[in-house]
Amino acid sequence: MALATSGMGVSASRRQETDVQLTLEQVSEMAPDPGAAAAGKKLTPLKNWESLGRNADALWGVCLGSAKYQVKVDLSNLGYHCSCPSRKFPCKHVLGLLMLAASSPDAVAESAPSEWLCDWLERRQQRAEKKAERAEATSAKPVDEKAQQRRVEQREARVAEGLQRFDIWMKDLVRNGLTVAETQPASFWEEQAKRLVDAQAPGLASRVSRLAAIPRSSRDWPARLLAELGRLKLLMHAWQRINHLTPQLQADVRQLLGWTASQADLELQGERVEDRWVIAGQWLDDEDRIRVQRSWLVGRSTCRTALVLQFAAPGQGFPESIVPGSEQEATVIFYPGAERQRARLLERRGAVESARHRPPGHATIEELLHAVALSLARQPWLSAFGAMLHDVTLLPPDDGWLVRDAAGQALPLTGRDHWKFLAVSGGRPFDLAGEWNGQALRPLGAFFDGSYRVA
Amino acid sequence: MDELARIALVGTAKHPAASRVDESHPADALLGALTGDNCEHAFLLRAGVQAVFGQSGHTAREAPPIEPSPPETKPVASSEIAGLLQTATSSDAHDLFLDFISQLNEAGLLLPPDMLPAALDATDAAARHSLLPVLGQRGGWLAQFDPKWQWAVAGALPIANDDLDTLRRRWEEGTKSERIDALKTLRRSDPQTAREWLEAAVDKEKAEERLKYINVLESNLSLADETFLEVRLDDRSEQVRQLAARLLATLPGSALAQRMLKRAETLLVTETSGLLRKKTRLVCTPPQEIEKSWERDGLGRKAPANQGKRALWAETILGMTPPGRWSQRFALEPEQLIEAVRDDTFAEAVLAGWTAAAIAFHAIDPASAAWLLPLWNYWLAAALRCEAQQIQTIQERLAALIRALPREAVTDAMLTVLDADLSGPRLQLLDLLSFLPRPWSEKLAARYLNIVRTALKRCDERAVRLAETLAIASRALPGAALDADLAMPEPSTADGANSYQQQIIGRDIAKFLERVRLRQAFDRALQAEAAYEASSEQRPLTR
Repeated sequence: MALATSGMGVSASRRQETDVQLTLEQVSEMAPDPGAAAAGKKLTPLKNWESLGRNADALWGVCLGSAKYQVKVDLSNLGYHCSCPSRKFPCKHVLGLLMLAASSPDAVAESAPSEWLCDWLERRQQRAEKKAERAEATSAKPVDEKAQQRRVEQREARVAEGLQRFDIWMKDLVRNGLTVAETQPASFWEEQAKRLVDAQAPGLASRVSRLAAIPRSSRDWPARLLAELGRLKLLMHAWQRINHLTPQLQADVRQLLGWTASQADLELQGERVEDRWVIAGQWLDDEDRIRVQRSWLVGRSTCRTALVLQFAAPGQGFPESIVPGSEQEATVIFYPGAERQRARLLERRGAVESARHRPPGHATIEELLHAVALSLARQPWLSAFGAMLHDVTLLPPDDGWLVRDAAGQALPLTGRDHWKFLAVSGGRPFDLAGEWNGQALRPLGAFFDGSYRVA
Repeated sequence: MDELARIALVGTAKHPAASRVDESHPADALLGALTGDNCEHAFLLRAGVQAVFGQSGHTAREAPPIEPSPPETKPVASSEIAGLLQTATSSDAHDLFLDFISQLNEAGLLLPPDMLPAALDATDAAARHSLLPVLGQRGGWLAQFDPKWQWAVAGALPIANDDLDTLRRRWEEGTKSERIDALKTLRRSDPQTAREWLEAAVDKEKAEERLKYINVLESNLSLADETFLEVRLDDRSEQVRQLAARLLATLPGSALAQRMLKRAETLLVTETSGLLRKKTRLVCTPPQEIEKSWERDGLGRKAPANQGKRALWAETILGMTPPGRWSQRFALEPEQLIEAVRDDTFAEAVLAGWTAAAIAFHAIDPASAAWLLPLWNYWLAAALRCEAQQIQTIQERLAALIRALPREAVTDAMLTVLDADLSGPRLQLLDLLSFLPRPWSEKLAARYLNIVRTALKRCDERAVRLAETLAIASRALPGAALDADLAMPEPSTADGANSYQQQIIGRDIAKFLERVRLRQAFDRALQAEAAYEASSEQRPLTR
C-alpha cells in the first residue's frame, strides 16, 4: 500500500485552487482495498470518460467500462453513486473519477448538470430530509411514559443481576489466583461475555471478551490483566453508586455498560460544536466481525478533538466518506459524557478540502500526557486518546520506534514500519497525528511542509 | 502495580498481604474509606484505582536527538514523476521502472523520499546499481538505520580506491554477494591485488563459489593472471577447469592460447577439386584420441548425447582459437570458408566452434569480428530450413551473435528475420528481438511497427507470436517512435481465425498501449520537470 498510494501530496502546492482538492493519496485511502485503488487509477485517462462535468455541488461523468456507467460525487460530503453493479464501495469508477479530478483538474470543466445528476442530487436531498423528518417524528411522538419506565426498570434489574454474577466470578478469579487464567481457552472468557450480553450489558461484555487476548501475551500479562479487571470493577462499582454521580458521568457509565444513545437522544442531549474540522488521522480496526473505522477530528478554532466511529460489515462500505487529511466546515455532535470524546458528524457544509497546514495540537509530549491525565480524571475508563503532536521527530528502532519532541522526551510507537515518515521527514521536525493507547502511539498521519501523508 | 499483580497471581486466599492497604500509596489513600465488604472486593477496587492512577501518571522517557539528513545537492523529482514510478512498480512493469530510474538519473533528479524505503529493499544487483545514483543524501542517510540497507550506505559514499580496509573486511567477513561485490570493485581499480586475495582464498571455497569468484577476473584480464589460471587448470571441478581455459584462451600470448593454436592448425586443411571451376573444400580431421594434457586445457572427455567425442574436441578447440586466424591462413573471406566447410562431416562442430570463437574474440580481434555477420547469415539460413528440433540450438547461437554484432549491423540482421515468412516452430526466432540492444534504431522501430500492423490484421499463428513481441517493443522502441501514431489494428476473425487468438492478441495490444502510454507520460513529465527547473532559479532543493 505504501508504494501504491503515496507521494502525491506535493503536486497540490503547484496547482491552482480547484473545487476538488483531494490528493491522489487521499482518494486511494477511500478505496475499500488496494485493488480497487489500482483499478481506479487505470481509469484516470480521459479516454475512459465522457460527459465529464462539475459545479459547486457535484462532480460527475460517464465511465466507458464494459457498459456506460453514470458516476456521481456529491462534493459537500463526498457521497457517491455509480450505476455499475460492483459490490465494492466506492467502486473503481467513483475512485477513477475522483483521481481524474485530483490529478488533472483542468480536464473537468464547470458545466450544467445533466438530468440524471439532478435526479440523483434531488433524491439524496429528499432522503436526507425524510430522515430528519423521521427523527423529528420519533422525538415528537407521544411516548407511553409508563411503559417506557417499566422497560427501563426491567433492563436495569437484569443488568444489576448480570453484574452481580460477574462480580462473584471475578472475585473468585482473584481469590484463586490469576495463574488459572494462563491456561484457559478463549471460551473461558467468552462464556462470561455471553452471560453479560444476555444480561443486556453488551458494552461490558465486549470488554470481557477482549480480556482473552491478555494472558501470556507479554511478560507483564498478570499486571495488565489485573489492571483491566480493576477497571471493570470500578465500572461496576460506579453502576452501584450511579445516583451519586454527575449526570455526565452517569451517561458515560451507561454507555460503557452498553446502553446506546438513540439518534434522537443524541440530538437532544449532545453538545454541538461548529468548526472547521480536520480529519487528522484514521485507522480501520477489522479484527472483529464488524469493521470499525476510527477517525480523529481536530477543530481548527475550538482545538477540540473528536472521535468519529463508523461501522460496516465485511465487504460493505461505510455510510459516510471521511477522508484522512481533508477538512471541512461542519457541525459535530458529541455524545454526552464527562469527557466528551466520541462524536458524530451532524452537518457538513462547503467543499471537502485537503488540509494544507497542521491543525492545533500539543507542542510537547508532556503536554499531551498532561491532557490525557486530565481526561482520565474526568472519565477513568477511556482507553484511546487522539494525539496531534507538533514538531516531533521519529527515532528509528534499536528496540522499537520512538517519537521524540523538541524537549527531548520520547514515547514508543506501535508497529514496525514507519520508514516512510522517517524518509519524508529526513530527521527534521514534522507534525504527527496518532492515537495514544496508554502504552504506545499509533501513527496515523503527518503534516510535512503543508502536505498531509497517511501513515 | 507489581505488588498487587504478585498477590493476584497466587490468589488473595493464599496471600496474607491481600487485604493490607498500603496507606503510603496515593491511590490506596484515596480508597481508604471505601474498603469494607470482603477482601476481594477491596482488592479489585485497589487494582482499578491503581491502574487508572498509573495510566494517568505515564511519563515519557528521555531520548537523544536524531542527526538529520544532510541537504541534497540535486533536485528531487516532482510528485507527478513519483506517481508514474509508482504506477510502473504496481502495474507489473518492473523493467520499465528500472529504465525510468536511469532516465531520472540522466536528468539529474533524485527519487522522491517516500519511495526510498521500497527502493532500499531492492535485492537485485542490477536494480541496486541503477538505483544508487538517485537515492541522494536522504537515501544514504536512511540506509544507516537498517542493516539490510548497508549496500546503499557504502554505495552512496563511493569507496575510495585506497580504502582497502573496508573492501578487505567485506571480502573477508561479508556474505557471498558482498564478497563478489568487493572483489569486483577491487578488480576494477587494482586487478593485481584482487587476484592475490582470490588466490589466497580460492581453495577454501566450494566449486560453485570458485566459479563465481574466478569469473570476476574476466574484467581487466591480463597476462599477469596467467600463472594463477594455469594452476586452476588442475582444479577438481571440470567447470572451473573449463572457465580457466576459456579465460586463458582469450589472453593473446598465453601458453594455453599457443597450445590451442597448435592443435587447431592440424585440424583444418583445404582440398581443391574440379578442373575448370575450382572448388575449395575445407576438411576437418579431429584426433581419434587426445592426450591427458589436452584434457587439462578444457577439452572434455564426455560428449553430450547428440555429439561424438571427436566433434566435441573440434568444436572446443576451434572455439578457443580466434577465427580471424583462418581467414589469414587460407587467404579466404569468412563467407568463403563457411561455404567451403558446410558439406564436411564435421561441419556442424566447426561452425559451432567458429561461432563461439567469433563471440569470444570479436572485442579484441577485428579480424574475428568480421566473422560475426557471415556466421549470423549462415545460421539464420540454417534456421529457415532446419528440422524443428534443431531450432532451439540455432536460436541460442543467433541470440549470442546478435548481442555481439555491431549496432549498425543489428537492424538489418533483425529485419531479415522479421521479413522472413516464418511459421510453426520457426516463429520462435521472433524472440531474438529481446536480445537486441535498446533502444532500437528508428529504422527498425518503423519497420517493426509496419510489419506488426499488417500481420496483426490476419489474426493467425504468426500474428499471435508477433503480438507477444509487443511486450519487448514497448520497452525497446526509441523515444522518437513514441511520438508516432501507435494505434494497432483491431484483430479480425474474417479469415476464420478463432476468437481465442483474437482475444489474446487484443490483450497483448492493450498491454502494449498501456506500457507505451506510461513511457510517454514519463517522458512528458521529465520534460515538464526540466522546463520547471529552468524557469525557477531559486528553487529549494528539498521539497
